[in-house]
Amino acid sequence: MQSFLVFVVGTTIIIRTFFHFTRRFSLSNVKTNHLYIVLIACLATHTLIFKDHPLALWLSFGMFFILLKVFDKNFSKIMDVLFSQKQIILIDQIIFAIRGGKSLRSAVAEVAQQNRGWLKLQLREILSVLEHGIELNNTSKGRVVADFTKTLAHIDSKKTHQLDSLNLYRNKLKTRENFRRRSGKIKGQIYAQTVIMSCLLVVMSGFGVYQFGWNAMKSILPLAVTFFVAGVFCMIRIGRGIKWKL
Amino acid sequence: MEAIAPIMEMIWQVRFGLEEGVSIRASLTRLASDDVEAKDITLFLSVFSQGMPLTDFYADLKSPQRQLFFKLMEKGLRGDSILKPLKELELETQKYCEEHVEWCLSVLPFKMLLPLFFLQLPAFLLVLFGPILFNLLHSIRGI
Repeated sequence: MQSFLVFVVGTTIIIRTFFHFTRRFSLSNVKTNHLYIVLIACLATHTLIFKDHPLALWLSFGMFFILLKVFDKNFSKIMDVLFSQKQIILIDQIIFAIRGGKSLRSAVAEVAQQNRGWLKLQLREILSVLEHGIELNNTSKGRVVADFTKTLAHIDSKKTHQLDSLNLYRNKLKTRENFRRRSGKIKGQIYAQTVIMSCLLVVMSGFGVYQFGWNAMKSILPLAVTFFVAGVFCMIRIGRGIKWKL
Repeated sequence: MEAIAPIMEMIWQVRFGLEEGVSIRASLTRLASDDVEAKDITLFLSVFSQGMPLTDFYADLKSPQRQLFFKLMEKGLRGDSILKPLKELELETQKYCEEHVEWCLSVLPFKMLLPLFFLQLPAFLLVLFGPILFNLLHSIRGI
């Protein structure tokens, strides 16, 4: 009975959080329903497995809820990264469609048709913003998507020289991207070194355990990991310490 | 380190704004609202609006590029054409930024050597030779 109660309360809270998440991802109703079914099935199976341990059940539901919340909070950042990778290609497609004799809105609609999945739904949403003049919520959509929509809405409102404005916007994005790519080498180098070193430590630890046995390694590994993590922190600090001097 | 230097963000915002017909003040206000060097921009706009001399403000700026940028903004707000000198400043600043990145990339391996030698290498040595060393110590104590 207690497990069933945990299942009902936990599932309700998780589904509620998941609903916000699916809305942010602009998922279609069919996909959302499928995801709900899978989610409820997983939660029910989980409850059945741990039905004799209500505390473990509470903890696992709580952890899942926290994970969803953390992911939901950082979602706009993920969205920004995904969208910024496609932004210039999208503008190119819109420019081609306009050169083919279409208006900006028709061009966006055509580009939405050409794309698939999440991007298609995003473009449809942007199109509805252009058509109905609704303000896009900056916090729920991520800064890049919001900026893209705002710029398209601004260009759409101009009625003349739309192609010039789009080319200018593309030029702006391209310049930024080129610059970012060059200056991103520093971060890349730090991350690459950290990842390679971490992999090396894992492999060497595995080798150590294989060669000398777990008993010999169990007192050494915590010390080695502490040293290693301190090294990683130092590296990150060095990376953060590099600043633009202008 | 930000991926893009704030000064480049400022130059681009104003330059692309001008090319699109947006006023310098509107571009600067947008930069401040986007939190790109908001402190300097807000101070500059407030000093300029009050009609006070900007010499002290320029003296407090940390780089010549920044000084030049704000001097250009002052000229622009007074009605002069600044697009051409702004583009020149953009090229110069971009070149400087690239040189700075190159310099950082050349110095970085040496800086990274310190944590590598003093923290990560001991960790690797511990994993590799720790058990042997412990066994040796045990054997010595046993003797």
